[in-house]
Amino acid sequence: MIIFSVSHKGGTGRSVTSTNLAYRAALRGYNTCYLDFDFGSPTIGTIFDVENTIDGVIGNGLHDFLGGRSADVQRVSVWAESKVSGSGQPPGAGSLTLLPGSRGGGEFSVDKATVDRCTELFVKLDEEFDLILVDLSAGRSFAVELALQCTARPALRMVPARWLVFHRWTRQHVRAAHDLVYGERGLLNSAVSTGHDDAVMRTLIRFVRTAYIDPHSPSTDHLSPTQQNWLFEMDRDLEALSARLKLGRSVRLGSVSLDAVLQWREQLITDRDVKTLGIAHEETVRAYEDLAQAVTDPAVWESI
Amino acid sequence: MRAQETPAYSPTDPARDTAATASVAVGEIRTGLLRHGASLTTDATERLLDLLPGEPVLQSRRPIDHALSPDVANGVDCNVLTSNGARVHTVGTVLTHAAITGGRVLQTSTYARIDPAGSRHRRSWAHYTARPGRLETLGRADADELAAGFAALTGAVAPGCLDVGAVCERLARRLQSSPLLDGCPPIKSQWTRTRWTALFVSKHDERAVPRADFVLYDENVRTISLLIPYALRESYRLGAVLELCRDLALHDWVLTTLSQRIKRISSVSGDRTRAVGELYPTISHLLHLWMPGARVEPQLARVWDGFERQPGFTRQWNTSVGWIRDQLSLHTLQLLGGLESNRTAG
Repeated sequence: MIIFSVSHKGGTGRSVTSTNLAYRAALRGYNTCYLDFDFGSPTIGTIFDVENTIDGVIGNGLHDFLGGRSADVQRVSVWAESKVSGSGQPPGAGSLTLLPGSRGGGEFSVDKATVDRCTELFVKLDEEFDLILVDLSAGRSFAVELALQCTARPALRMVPARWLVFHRWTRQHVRAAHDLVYGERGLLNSAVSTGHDDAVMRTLIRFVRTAYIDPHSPSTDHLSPTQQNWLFEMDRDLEALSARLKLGRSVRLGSVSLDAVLQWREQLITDRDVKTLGIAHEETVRAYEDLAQAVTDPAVWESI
Repeated sequence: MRAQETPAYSPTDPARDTAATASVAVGEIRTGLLRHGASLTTDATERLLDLLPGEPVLQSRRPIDHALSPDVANGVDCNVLTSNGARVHTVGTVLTHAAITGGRVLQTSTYARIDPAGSRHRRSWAHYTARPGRLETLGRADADELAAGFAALTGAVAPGCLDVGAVCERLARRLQSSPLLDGCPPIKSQWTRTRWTALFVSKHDERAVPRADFVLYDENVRTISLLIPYALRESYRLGAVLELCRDLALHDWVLTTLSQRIKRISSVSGDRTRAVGELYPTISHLLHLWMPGARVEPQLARVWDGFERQPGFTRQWNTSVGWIRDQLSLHTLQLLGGLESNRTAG
């Protein structure tokens, strides 16, 4: 299964949520790999805390491979090389492999040779991994175009694809996420023009709310009654707006609440961060676990 | 590395036709699971491996289905690294073929014999294309150092250097994307890379015993180093050496994949549905592939015998298969126990 992460612009928590989703999926026993297609700014090494890949890698990163400058792509085992794992692969976990971008990557055009190489890479990874998470650049980009063209190829027709659209919970972000998917130059229209079926493509897209403040959560207890009421009202309005814009509950895969740790540092949230250090919220971990469960649960994707 | 595809002419056996000088054959084999849900039919196998129109795909049925494509030649003009770090300029052709065993396992293999006493000047392409599967050095080189240099190169290949793995990979990717395959392999598995060298020692060399070393370099990379003494060279065709290396690579892949399956099944053993779900494809798609030495010529079978003693491929295989069957029995017992307690409760 290939999961593409998209967002309308930067700062939505797309990368940090996707990496944590990958981490939780691997802990659940799925062999998982993570591809940094954020061609503008490869940063995944930072979140996974893998030295030497902080700003991408030199020579055989994803950009070099896709551009035809390298025959192989560098692979980094997170269990072996990241500081988060402590003592290697946790019992019961699947593999967790990172394919970093190239240092100083930059965007590039999508030609037939690039699509060929990218399709071959996806095919090869699908032979090996249960989950392939692809972190695409923000906004409409060559990366999105490349992903659409590859998944339209016959070689990948039997590989299930999923699209996760990340957005924050504000009016502007909800509208922007709507445009990214349903707009004139949005994901759906691009998909149709690259040969995908509109009705099928719609069933493959789900939304993820990030930095969400649940008005029912105890974390809002310190707010004044006026503030709390206001929060309830806003939440209701936004829910109505998103339902109208076709990104309401029925197509929402999950929500991740605002967690101070992630406001200051993009990182994997480990159980140690919650239980021993107490720096992250348990509900953040639960949200990632729920996302990892939902993304692999066929029932979630069966119908809208 | 520069590569261009040219048809292979009926290859003369490169191992037989030299005088008393030492020579070395090198190659790489990539082994993985065919991207197909069921065992590939004989007909589809033949069409998939039809790499050169007019050249036959060799198929055999006993003791296990096996198919071998014709060789395709690629022209190369590149450097080969020796064990002391020198770059030796070589020109010639490498040969690539693909094999499918049991309708399940795909292997792509690229190889060449390096003639270390080539001429001092580059000759016309006609000279090289007339000798498929042979690389000639420009200037003299030491066969031992060429072999050791090739075997030591287990990581990325430097630009401009001989990269037989890339040729294998290109063919593997092409075949795996073929519309003849349904794209739904029954299990997730990794590819292995097996780099091999065969050193045919010279008449004056004193080493008289055939030697073979098999090294697991890391999770996916293996090396095989064969030393073939002059006295025995007549009995060793390069084709037979290739077959031995393919057979070793195949069985190493099956064993590696089974070990990874066992790791996976162990990790979900608490969840019976998931564990049985993982056991099922392992039993139906992997266990019948074990047939060590089935296609190896008698003179080389002793190499397999050596590996059976140390490290003991079949010993590990039998233990692993026993574990798998025990797991199945345990789950069956649990299931029966569950039924029994239901009945008592009812």
